[in-house]
Amino acid sequence: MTYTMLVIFIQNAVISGAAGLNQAYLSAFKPKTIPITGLLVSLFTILCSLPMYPLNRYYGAETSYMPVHAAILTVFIILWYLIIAKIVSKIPPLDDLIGSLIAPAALNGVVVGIPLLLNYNQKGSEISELFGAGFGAGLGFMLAALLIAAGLRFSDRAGVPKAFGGAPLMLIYIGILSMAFSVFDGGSITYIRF
Amino acid sequence: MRTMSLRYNEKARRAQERRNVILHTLRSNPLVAGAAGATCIIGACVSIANALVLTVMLAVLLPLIAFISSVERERLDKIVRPVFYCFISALTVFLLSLFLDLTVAEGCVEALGIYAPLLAFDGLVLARTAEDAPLLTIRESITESLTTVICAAVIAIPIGAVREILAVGKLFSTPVETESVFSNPFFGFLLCGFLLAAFRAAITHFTKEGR
Repeated sequence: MTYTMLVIFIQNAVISGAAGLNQAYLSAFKPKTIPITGLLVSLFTILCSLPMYPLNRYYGAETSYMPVHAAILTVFIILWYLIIAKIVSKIPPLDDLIGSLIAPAALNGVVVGIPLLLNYNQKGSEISELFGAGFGAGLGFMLAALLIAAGLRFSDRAGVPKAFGGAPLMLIYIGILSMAFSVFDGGSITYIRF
Repeated sequence: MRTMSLRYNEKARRAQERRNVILHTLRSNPLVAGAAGATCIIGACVSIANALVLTVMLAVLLPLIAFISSVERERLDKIVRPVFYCFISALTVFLLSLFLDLTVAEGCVEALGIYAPLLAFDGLVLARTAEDAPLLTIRESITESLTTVICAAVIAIPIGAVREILAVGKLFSTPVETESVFSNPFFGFLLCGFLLAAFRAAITHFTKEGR
């Protein structure tokens, strides 16, 4: 629970680290899909973090070099995506509901970023940590996408200069949110450093 | 005489097509229109050296993915297609990371932290492979990708330079100060937002004047 809350609020991957920013922005245009995408992000983060657990715990020194760790993680992401996408495509009602959301959820900066961050900060050697961070990753993604969706509602107002419309305004808005999130820890808690 | 005239018309037509692709990309590439690629720019560009490394990696990745996608032309199964391109980009990032770290400057890619591997899954790199992306010829895709690299460089390098100067007081410093507030992602978000707006305003102004 502690790790979950840390990853949602204090070190939110999207708002505090910009990981998965593009997907969160695209999800914000379709607010109804945000909860399902968030749950899928949690699912893939947990599934991809679990095979990394023995590596982090027993072969941490050998696999801590970032490109090597990332290469191993990428293989697991691709495998889990193919398995889940194939299963979902065989069930038509499920395919209609979540078929188009699996690729954006699996090939997401948050799914890649959280296991890499745990390795980068020499965390992730406890199963509870992996589950907590994985679950928090999806909820944090959901929170970020909902906040961006709320901001998008005000971005079409008449007073906004044309050059700032869309992505620039969204980035400035998230920057202010990120500033607010960065004071949650008061500089004293740094669970994972981006 | 007629052959020379046809060749000239063909050259003029291709040059005009190239100009159209470049103008269209400058105005509406995924970075400017949808902040794709902003992840790595905001997170990794805390110094000018990081920004240059990121630009080099994009300069290799984007044309490669553009070339492959214009040859493949959506023939792959729609489930396999996204992971095929992720695999290609992840493999390229892995090999490029080893090459740059071992031959150019040790630790230059490691300094990017988690953002070098994140590049393989970035929206900017995979934009050409989206379902709604128009099918382009090889020449058009490569032109579009190189223009996108230039746009990313114009955004990323000033961000890296400004953040490093504000954090440390000089450029190309080692080690890069990461405790400074200017190295925090929130400052990157604000800087990137303002720079994108300035870029968009400049492109709109200069392309209108050119007409």
